[in-house]
Amino acid sequence: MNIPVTPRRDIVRFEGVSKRFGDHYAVEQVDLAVREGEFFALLGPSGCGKTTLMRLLAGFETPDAGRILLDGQDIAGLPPHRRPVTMMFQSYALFPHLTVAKNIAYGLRALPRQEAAARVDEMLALVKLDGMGDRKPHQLSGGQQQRVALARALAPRPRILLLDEPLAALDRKLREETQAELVALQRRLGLTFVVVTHDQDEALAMADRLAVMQAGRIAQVATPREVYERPATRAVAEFLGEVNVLPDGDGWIAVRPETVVLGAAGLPGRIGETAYFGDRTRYVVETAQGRIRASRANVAGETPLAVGAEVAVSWPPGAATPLAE
Amino acid sequence: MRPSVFSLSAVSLGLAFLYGPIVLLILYSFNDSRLVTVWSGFSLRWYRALLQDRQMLDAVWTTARVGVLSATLSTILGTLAAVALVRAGRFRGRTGLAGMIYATLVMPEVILGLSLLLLFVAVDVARGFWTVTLAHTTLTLAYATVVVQARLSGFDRSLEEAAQDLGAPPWRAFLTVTLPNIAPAVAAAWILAFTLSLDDLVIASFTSGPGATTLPMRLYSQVRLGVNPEINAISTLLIGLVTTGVIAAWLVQRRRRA
Amino acid sequence: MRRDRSRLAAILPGLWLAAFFAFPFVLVLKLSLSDTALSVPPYTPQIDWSRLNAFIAGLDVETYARLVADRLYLDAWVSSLRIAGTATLLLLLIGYPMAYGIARCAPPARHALVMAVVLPFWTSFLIRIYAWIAILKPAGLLNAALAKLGLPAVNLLNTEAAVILGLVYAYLPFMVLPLYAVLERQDGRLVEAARDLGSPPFRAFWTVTFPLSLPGVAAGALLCFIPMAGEFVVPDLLGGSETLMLGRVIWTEFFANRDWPAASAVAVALLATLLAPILLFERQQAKVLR
Repeated sequence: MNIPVTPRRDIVRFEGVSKRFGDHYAVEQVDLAVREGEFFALLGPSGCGKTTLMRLLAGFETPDAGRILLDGQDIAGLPPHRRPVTMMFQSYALFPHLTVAKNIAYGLRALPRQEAAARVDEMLALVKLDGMGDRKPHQLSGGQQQRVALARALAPRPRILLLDEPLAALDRKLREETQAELVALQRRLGLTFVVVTHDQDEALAMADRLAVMQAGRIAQVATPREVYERPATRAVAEFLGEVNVLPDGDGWIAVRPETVVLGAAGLPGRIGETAYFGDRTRYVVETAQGRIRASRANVAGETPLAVGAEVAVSWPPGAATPLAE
Repeated sequence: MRPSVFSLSAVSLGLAFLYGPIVLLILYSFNDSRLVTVWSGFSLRWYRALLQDRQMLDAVWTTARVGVLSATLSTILGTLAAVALVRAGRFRGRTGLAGMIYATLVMPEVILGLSLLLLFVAVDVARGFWTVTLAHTTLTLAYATVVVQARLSGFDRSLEEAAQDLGAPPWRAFLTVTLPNIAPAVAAAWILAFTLSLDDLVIASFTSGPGATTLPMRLYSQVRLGVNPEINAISTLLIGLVTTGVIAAWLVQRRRRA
Repeated sequence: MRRDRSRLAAILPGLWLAAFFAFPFVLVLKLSLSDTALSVPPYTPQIDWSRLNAFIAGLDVETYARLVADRLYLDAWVSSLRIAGTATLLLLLIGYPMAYGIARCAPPARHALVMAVVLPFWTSFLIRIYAWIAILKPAGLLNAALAKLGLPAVNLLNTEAAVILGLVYAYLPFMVLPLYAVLERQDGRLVEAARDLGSPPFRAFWTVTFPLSLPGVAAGALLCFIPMAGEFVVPDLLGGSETLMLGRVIWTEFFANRDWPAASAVAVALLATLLAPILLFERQQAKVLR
């Protein structure tokens, strides 16, 4: 299936939104737009305000300042139950006293009974849980519970689906599978997904665009590639993967270890440490400019460099990104 | 961790102390003799005597009515109070409400009874069934609050948020999601309130009037006259009833959890 | 926004407690300060707000003066505190090992034992105290058993010892439960760490387990001491006419002597005595809840 390349209109706009808890600003002066039909990720360390931003959108918190527009309408005054936005909770928040089918039907009160039943079946099929409608949540595995939570949030056909750390409770193998399934589902439905996560790999792998948050503010909004390869600030660069931050004139530049070339020409240095990772080997090279990290794919027939080996360090002209701050 | 000989004997001695007197009381309710120390054979005569004791039966009926009514009222009020204490964060009057609730828990009954009596006299209400019911509601409200509060504060808040997120206004989210999940605690609160009402002598004595003698009041006036196997008989019935109820409630809750 | 809604839930119970718990105390205070001569029964203290000023002007401490002058009240006050204090101490000595032992058991046994401790609490207080009369009275089960063993009879009924015994018996569940709650929650690895660092079992208990259980000790002690100090049923049934306790004095003044102002003044005195422990208990509960 093709991803539409035409610029899409904004479905949600945050305009100068702030939220305080006591003296602490959880979200400060945030401007952000999410486009219709995209898979958008809010990425940041815990306590950066990403969850608060999502709860503001869901209606569980009210902003102290600024506006939140959904389809151009200010929704600040709308309580959660009047917003066409649903959420998949991190803990799933499945109602323990209701069956799977009744959990999914909970948001379908407005529908006639037959239509609601049909929708429940449709949703169960969508998440591949056909025939499980009569189970109680505690009779399901973690992965199945996650899918029920997804089905329940999708059932009322929201304008936006919010996912709060959707994969955090799953084990690693299941997480990778589910990641792909979520992306496929989002493409198929063409629905706007906003996912909150602290896991950079997850955000990079799933999102069309992502916002990196730091201390209540948005540090950068861009595509995964852009954020990784052209980080706007030192904090963004350091949060996403490994990076060498090196002085360059008055400022700083960021160089990713995998772009560093260990060869014959360039800055002279000595291999200080090596770490073997199977598919690649990581090196720390001691140079006059300090310790520079490099990462090289292991190629058949080639022996990795040893500690003490003399090398020259360089990187291609496009690999260095100047950093703000 | 293995329990040591010391802790095992502490527990068994303690339980023997708790149950010894109750077991003796039950045993002697089946004694044919009126004398406590003389066992003259198994008999149900004191149970038969009980069935003919009109006053005792009236007292049982009054107590049951007061208990059901006051337990229901106090469970409703206590659940509301628990919701306010757990959910409303800090608000003006919170300290006052919490203070009154915890004070009721430890307040000597004599003080509660006397003060309520003065209130009823001051507003010129005839004392009887309704005044006892009001007084018992006040007494048991605090206990009901504490029981529901414990469960509510352990209740995952995101369940209620999920309900609202799916279109339920706050009151419906409470009724369809929160209440079914805290139901065991609400039931436990009701049973506790009912038992406390069933048990109370002091407050009932102050706030009751003619025609509304409760079972403990009746028992007390009998006890004052000395040991009487008929009291053993009704005590045994009460103990049997309550024990069955409590164990049944416990088993039901355990099965639900499993 | 939503928080404000749940605040509304406080209105009904708040009003109820204000009307039926807090306000009546004002009446007790008022009556304890009113003129004895005028308020001899049948007393009808109708609320008359227009006369509030006159009432304040006419405040009368005569009842209190009478209480202080009469040795009986002072003795009752002292013995109330002494009896409740002794019983609290005994409860700790009996209740702590029990709670500790239960907390050490495997979970299924633990739950059953907690049930067993709580169960007597569900059966009538009056009946449980009554059961002791048959045991303690001169021709009762205790002396019958002693006679069988060839030991001399003891006369316990209608003594202070019997009252303390009854209090310990009746309040034991209230002591065990809060102690059990803190002991059960304690991380067993802490004691293992202490043992590992060279503490013998008792030292590990005394330097780790016990200090960490102090909140439970405080909760249990207050939960028992406060109501015991005002207890009526136990001293009345087991204490005979010799044992004076404030709860019983209030009852007697009220029902036998029909001296309502005196009963109110004793109630105020009792409440004033218990105010500090009650506030302590409240602070403690607020802490536990957080």
